[in-house]
Amino acid sequence: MPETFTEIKRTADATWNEWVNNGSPRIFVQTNADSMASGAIEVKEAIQDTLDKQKISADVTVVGSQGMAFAEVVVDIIKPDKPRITYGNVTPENVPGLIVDYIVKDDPRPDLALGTQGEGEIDGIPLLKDHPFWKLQYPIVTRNFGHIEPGNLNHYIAQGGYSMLNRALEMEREDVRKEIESSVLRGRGGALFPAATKWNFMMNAPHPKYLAVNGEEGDAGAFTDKAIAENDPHTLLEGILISAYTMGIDKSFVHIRAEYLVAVERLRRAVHELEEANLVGENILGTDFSTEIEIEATGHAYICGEETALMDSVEGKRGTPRPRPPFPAAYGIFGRPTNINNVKTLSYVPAIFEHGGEWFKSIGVEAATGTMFLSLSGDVKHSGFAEVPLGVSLREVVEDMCGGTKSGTSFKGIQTGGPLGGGADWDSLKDLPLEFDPLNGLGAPVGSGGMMMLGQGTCIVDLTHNLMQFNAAESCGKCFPCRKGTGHIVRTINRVMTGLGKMEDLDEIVYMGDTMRDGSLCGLGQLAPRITTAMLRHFRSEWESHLVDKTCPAGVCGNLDGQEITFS
Amino acid sequence: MTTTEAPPNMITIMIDNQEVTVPRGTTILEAAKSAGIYIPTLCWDPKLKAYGACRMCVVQPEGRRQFLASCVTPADPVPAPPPAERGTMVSQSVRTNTPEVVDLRKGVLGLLMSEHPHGCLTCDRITHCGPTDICLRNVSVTDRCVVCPQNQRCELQAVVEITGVDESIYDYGYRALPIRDEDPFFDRDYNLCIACVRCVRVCNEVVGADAISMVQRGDRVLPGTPFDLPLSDAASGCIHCGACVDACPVGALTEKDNKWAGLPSHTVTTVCDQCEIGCQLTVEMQGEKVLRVVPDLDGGANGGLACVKGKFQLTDSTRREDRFLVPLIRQNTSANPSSWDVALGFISDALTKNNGEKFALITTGTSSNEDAYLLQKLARQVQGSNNIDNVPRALSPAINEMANAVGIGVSTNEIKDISKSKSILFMGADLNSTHPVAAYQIHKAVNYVDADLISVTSTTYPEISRAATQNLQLNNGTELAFLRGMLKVVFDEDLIDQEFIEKRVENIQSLRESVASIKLDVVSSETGISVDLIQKAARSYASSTPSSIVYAVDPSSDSKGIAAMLTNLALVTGGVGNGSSGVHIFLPQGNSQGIQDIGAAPRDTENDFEAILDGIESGNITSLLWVGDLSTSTSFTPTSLEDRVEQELPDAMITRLKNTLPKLEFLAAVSLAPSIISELADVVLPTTSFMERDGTYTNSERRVQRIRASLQPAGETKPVWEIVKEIATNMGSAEFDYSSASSVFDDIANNVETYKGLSFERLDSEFTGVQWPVPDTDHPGTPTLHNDKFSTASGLARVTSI
Repeated sequence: MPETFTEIKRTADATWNEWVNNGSPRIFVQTNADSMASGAIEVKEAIQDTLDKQKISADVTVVGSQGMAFAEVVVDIIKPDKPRITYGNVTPENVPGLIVDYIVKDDPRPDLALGTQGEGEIDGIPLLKDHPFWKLQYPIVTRNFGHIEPGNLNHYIAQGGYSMLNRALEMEREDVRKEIESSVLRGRGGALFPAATKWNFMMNAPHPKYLAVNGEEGDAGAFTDKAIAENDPHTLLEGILISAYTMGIDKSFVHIRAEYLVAVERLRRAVHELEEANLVGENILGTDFSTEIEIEATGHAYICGEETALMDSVEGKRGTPRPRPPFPAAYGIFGRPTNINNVKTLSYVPAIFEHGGEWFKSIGVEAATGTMFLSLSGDVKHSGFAEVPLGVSLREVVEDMCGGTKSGTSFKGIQTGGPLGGGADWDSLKDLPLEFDPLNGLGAPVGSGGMMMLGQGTCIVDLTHNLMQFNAAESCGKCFPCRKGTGHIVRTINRVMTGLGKMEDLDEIVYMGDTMRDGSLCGLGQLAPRITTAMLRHFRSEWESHLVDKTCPAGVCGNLDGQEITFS
Repeated sequence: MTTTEAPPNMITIMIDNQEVTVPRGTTILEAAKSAGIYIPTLCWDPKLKAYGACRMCVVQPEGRRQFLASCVTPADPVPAPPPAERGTMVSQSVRTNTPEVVDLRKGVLGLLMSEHPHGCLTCDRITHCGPTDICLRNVSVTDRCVVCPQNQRCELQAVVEITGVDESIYDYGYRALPIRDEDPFFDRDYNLCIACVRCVRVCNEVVGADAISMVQRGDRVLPGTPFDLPLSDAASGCIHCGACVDACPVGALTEKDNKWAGLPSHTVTTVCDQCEIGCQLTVEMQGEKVLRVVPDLDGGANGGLACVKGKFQLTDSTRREDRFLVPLIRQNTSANPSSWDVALGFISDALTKNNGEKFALITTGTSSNEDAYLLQKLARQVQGSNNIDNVPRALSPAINEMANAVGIGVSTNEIKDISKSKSILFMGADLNSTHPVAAYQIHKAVNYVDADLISVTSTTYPEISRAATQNLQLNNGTELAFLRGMLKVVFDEDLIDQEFIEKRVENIQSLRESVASIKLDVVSSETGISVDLIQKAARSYASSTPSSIVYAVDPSSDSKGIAAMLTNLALVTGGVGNGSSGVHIFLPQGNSQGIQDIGAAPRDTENDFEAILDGIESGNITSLLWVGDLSTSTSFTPTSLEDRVEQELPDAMITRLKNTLPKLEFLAAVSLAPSIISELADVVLPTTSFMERDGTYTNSERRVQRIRASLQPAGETKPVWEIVKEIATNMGSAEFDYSSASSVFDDIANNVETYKGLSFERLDSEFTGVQWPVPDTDHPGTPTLHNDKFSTASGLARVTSI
């Protein structure tokens, strides 16, 4: 077992250099759960087949995804002394041609290429960073995505990883916390609570104390926690270890959705490697700091992303929120002081620590520092995930970066922050910056960064019904307002969708929403009606045309003749 | 005394402009209740941890549009709002009845009523309608409150009325779930369920049966059983204690018996006779019919809990079909009915002939204090005999062993002290079937204060072991060896409480010497428990404060020496006479403790049970009066729902009695129903069941409680004290001029030192009973014994040498 970090780093660099400079072409297949669904595994097999048939010696590596979900499957080819070319929409069918053309015949196939990365240029292929999807991006959390093998400790360390942990271990705990505090990093799970302030509650708490890492990302249209865990788990783990050192955590529970099979597998592998290298466990790197990390693939329930329900879930109980007080910092997992942070929040920690809080503050705007890791989906040309500085204008994000609607219609609006978020029409949104407060005021909170762009083909009533159905199905059933209210709103919207509604139904929805907001026990119940009220506020005419004219402007709700549709 | 400032551990809170002072940590709801301010609740239950689900109890901080669930929000001061300096704390001020609060409650109730049948709730005619009336508004039967078994006992009904909901604002749909009526004692109709989780919480938190849990989520969430099995299935884990039924605020869970009988005409509060816990129960009566039994929330020993025996089987013994209703006199082989006069005359003659030391008396724990008192008076005064003993004492050497050590052979603490213990050493019978409510206290300790439960068992596997943190199953009959091993560890590792021992304990040197010769590895091989585990158990018990020893006497096994050794353990570690720490001994039968106190016990071993049987065999004793029934307790197992299992005496003792008793010249039995004694008796006198008589019982924690007649005596049965009075009067004694149980008790108070301050009037006004010693009428009773000195002559406890 290597003794010091210098030795670990030396081994890692050697492995990395050997891989980079092995003289043969290197082929990257950007693989995460999404690209697997698009056929990444088949593409990789096809590449291997072609190489075997053509008797070409090349290195095929699975790397993380760079977020271009619109161009799956993405494959990169690096020939020695040539820049890296990124190809999109690669299929098992066009792979043999691509390999033969570029590697054997030296034709870079500009028709398939998205762009080049790194030094140098190739005629006919633009730089990837000039691609509209990439122009705005500022990778901090995503800096290693697509560049290293996910979960490969040597790759991560060779890219500078864990040196920040090594540095933190030599510092006073309070100094580490101050550094993060100076960055004004706010919780990226959606609640926007300053992370370092939250840590402060834990500094003097009695042992044993725990850190819960919230990766129970159940929002429809949010996939950034998954992206981090799948494409660069070590960034998260380094963030956990630095935070654990700062707060004196005895054990961290990474609560990741059980449905995220690839993420769970890659995280487990990463933790295993950390254990082998003594970067987690007893006396980390020879210091007197000891901590454990456990990957908890639990859930199958959205409510387990609520902080206190998550704690019940970790304890092995039915996940239901606990009343507060007592707060988690006093009474959390197994009744011990517990800090809870989102996967994204913790993943920022190593970079902030490396470059300093002031650097992080310089990226965003004053009220919202740093970058926002967005999940972009809906009716857009360029869907996927992207990391942009806070404060950029929404018009840039939606029209330039996402390339406008896929359907060719104009934008109707954006649904933000998942089913517990909200939304607004495009006219009110387009001139706003991507910041927390202005969007919140409009009823379209940024939340955890999920943005679903809506074209004219989307029926707002149908969308609201769909998201409320999600909330109703995911309500735990503990407190009365949420248990009954979610289901009632769904049934009332169903009436509107099927032409059975009355104008009074809209008032009823608002009244029920008020009861839920004021009366519910946890965030899910309090926020569940928000999507409905936001959509009513910004798209009232569309609701009214369902009720009065009995027509659906988007042409989605076809059955406004009073025949009730049953939804399973 | 006037105080201008609250003491430091007290805080003040303004509720509706009323200043309320409560201890720190009290919730707003509790504070409001203490001040008599009503806040509606549905999921709150005084027996359970606050849950915060129903949102009925919301209150509003003064001047802010914010809502706090008062059941989970402490009334403690809160940080002052921004203009004030950081860290300044101010008292809270809340409103319970602002229009916003009422509107929110109405909103939630509206949602609730959209799934709960409520046809009558919003109807102004509800007070006029009965279950059989035709509904003028055509509300279907399943939606009417007046046909609900819980009508007018329903908490939802009350909350709706008080909140003032007069219309249902949302569409209502009947859920049409199947009614689950396959369980033996209660029905489950989840169409009425409001998912307050009280049933599940009481089952998991307090009873520890874990038989039900919430199933599904969202608005489909409902309580359910494992694999949807009926609760009568043994795999469900249900012990049929009925705590869920008592917890249910609506009609979802209702008793099967008299489900539709409606409201009680009157209630009678009495005490269960089935075991030594002495649960106070409210018997709901409709005329001469027992409708249902509800455990009394104010009950000193049970605090609103009961078990299947008290909740559902209380009347079983009274309703036995084979009960004796008239006196019987045996002629040759057949027992013939006779009149009371003839039977009493027959007995008086026989007793007069066989008086003095030729007479013996044996009673059981089913006799009340009054019965026992007159019985011993008959034996000692009229018959001039000291041959008196009782079955519980004969079955368990624990009483004597403990008395030798600390002066009195009785539990030292209140039963509810068990639930505060950090470490509990449990031994003996299956507490869940013999003394279930004590088992709940152990569960509470494990659940609420993370107590370490050390369960030490050998031949049996008590249900409570499931909750044990240290579950030690010994080789058969090696409990004593194990306890010696624990003592060895306590001395070796210096876990003893030296200060306590020096001040309060004597004979310690001889114990220390005898312990020195014990070898742990020998103990380990004998008991089958590794040395590590013995050490772990000893360390846990000895180093935790408060700690409890819970010992349920198991008549079927040889328990000689166990109580002595348990008392030793408690004495050397300071686990007795020391606040909440104590030793709890549970005997079979309801009034086992009372009959010892009253004197239906021998003064020395020359007259005890063994000596009496020896005397009968040798012919020195020729007549015996046996009073009471033999079954030591009613035991219940979910697997044998159909049979009421009666734990008779141990086989060896039954054989001995069967062989010995026929040698008597005269055997009289006073009994409720046939037993091996009545089969051998020359005369059988029928007696009332405990539901048919007045009197007092004393439970294991020395709590003297009133039993009150709820039914008329069956047939010609009479209470025991009255029978004894008549026998004695018949025999010419003028000392038995008692008019009622109350006058007998007055005589007890005059003669029994520890009962001095008690009377029926006092026990009726102090409803929860009083724990002896009660030296005078102003004395509040003694919850904990031996706090300053032990009850021995020297005031010092004496450890028993091994």
